[in-house]
Amino acid sequence: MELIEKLEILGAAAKFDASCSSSGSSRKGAAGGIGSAYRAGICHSWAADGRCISLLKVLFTNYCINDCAYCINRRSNDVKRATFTVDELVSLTMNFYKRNYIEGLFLSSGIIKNADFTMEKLIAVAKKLRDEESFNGYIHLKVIPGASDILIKEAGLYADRVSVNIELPSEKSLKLLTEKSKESIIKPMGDICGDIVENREERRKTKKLPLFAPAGQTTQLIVGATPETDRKIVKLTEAFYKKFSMKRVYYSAFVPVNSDKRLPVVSLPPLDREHRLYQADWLMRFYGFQADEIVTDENPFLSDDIDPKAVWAMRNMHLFPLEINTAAFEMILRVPGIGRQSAVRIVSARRNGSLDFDDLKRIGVVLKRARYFITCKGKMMPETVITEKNVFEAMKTTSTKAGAPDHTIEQLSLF
Amino acid sequence: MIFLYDGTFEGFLSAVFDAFSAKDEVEIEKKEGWQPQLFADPVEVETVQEKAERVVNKLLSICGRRGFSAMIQIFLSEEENAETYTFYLIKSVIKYGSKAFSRFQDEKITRAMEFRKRVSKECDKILGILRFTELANGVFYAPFEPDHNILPLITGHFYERLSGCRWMIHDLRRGIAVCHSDGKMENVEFADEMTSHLNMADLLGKSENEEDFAKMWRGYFKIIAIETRTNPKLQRQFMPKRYWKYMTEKKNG
Ligand code: SF4
Repeated sequence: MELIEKLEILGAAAKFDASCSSSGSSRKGAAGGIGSAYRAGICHSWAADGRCISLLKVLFTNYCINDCAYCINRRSNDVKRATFTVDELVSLTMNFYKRNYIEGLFLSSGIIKNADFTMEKLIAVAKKLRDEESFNGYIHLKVIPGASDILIKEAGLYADRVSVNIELPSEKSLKLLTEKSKESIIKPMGDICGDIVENREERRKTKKLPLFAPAGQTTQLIVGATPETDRKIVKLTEAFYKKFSMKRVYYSAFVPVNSDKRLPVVSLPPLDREHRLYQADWLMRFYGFQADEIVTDENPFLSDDIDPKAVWAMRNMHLFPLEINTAAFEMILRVPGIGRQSAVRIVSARRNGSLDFDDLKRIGVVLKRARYFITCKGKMMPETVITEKNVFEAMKTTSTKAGAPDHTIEQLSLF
Repeated sequence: MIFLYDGTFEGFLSAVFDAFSAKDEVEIEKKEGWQPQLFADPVEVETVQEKAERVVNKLLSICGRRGFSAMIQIFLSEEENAETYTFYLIKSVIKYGSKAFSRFQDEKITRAMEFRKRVSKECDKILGILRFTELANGVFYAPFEPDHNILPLITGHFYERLSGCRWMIHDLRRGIAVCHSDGKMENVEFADEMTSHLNMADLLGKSENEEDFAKMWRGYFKIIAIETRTNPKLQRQFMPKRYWKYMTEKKNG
């Protein structure tokens, strides 16, 4: 089989994995070597679906001994199969990288023979790139559930990032749709987390020790294939951040590729839901929100019409209006229409003198939304009438970004 | 008062030095292309290395490398009156210190910072979408036509990243280029103005394998999109059409 055909088969087989980020590692290039890692991550292209392409994301093979219901590569599917050789993948990565097509390699795989055998193949690719090609670019390796701890440790020494997909939001769904147990997924996550903590501590003593997975671990789950609520998903996400110090949790709107009576019948992937979940995730990572503030027992689903930050503000009108010239940064962050950059600008600009609505506009605040929640020098913006209807109308958004997770860390500027 | 400089950064800094104590409003413009105006009696600034250095040191001591590089970005934006805005910012920084950068109460400062943002946004974008082609002589060659004069701002990134390669990055719009070999970076001296705007890949030919890898990348680019999520508007929002010309996966053929 020609290499291009393999690439097309094994790229297509990997495309449903949402995570593509190349952020979180920062590595200087070595003299005479190839590659460096850029802290904020870099997007190199955007595919026809608007998703960013950062890494060469492929499977080592799409042969698989398992038969997960939602997966295009399951053994009962009649699809064209292919397997790379280690050398082919190394050459593709190096040549794509030198042309600046990619930030590095994101390697996952179907399971051949058993978990360890497969994991060893992935490690062999990473090892050859690092040791023989002096490749300093980004490597993300997927951990095959069930792989032994010693192999996971080795993977973390060559990779910037390792990840285990949780795949589905509950144990019940996992049992129903996959042949993976919750145990086989959660255990390596815990191990990786432990390895990272241990490695960072030991490196404090001896700087020479190699970094274990400098960009940490991530996971992803499929949204809309099973009946869990948004509350369940957001709470699970929060637990991943808190318990396993995950760097990112990715959501992937369920795209039906198989007909299987265990799966729901949907014609289009639930992109709007995926988008709302990413907004909720963003609120937890950058805006200081707790899961319980975003989705409650009474309202376990995120709103279709209004983004979760505005929903929270509307539920908490008693905390507003805020005086922009004195309010705490943490509260300013929570005002609809004020993003993180604007909040940073507000607190630095007000040191130079008090701010009025024109200043806020220059700073980049969306006054159409923010006006209902703030005062400047004690006054609301002229002609602001707070009624339920007015606020609701202003909070409704038409977003064109639906379903596009941002892959680079939000860049904060001091200025 | 209008100050005319020679178009170089040193020349601009010399103008800053000379204009600093001017009483009335200052405008700084390039000598080349300046249209004489009625009643305008511009000062022609002489480029003096020592004056430029004094301005640089002064600014570094007040706002550090980070602040100084913000000024360079605004200067390189080549937006309308970029030099005058940069001068205004420099004056404010000398008056208020680093705090001047967050004087959003001041319309001119806000505008200058807007220029800076455009430049740094374009830099970030270009770091991702610049494409190198391996030429027949083994050099990796990247042509591009940025909106802003960002070549000097991006070479460091590739210097570090591709230190094992010989490469050349070429701004075809401005006819300037930087090349790298064996850890040394240099500005390319072109034989003449016309050559400086020529695409070297057409001139020197591509390496034997080049088309194979380009073809594989195009193939990969196509299949990685999820059909049921197709969203060309979103794609163009992230990757504006004006950049497609030099992108392997987007240009024709
Ligand atoms: S183990 Fe992975 S590749 Fe195999 S069928 Fe399940 S999801 Fe698909």
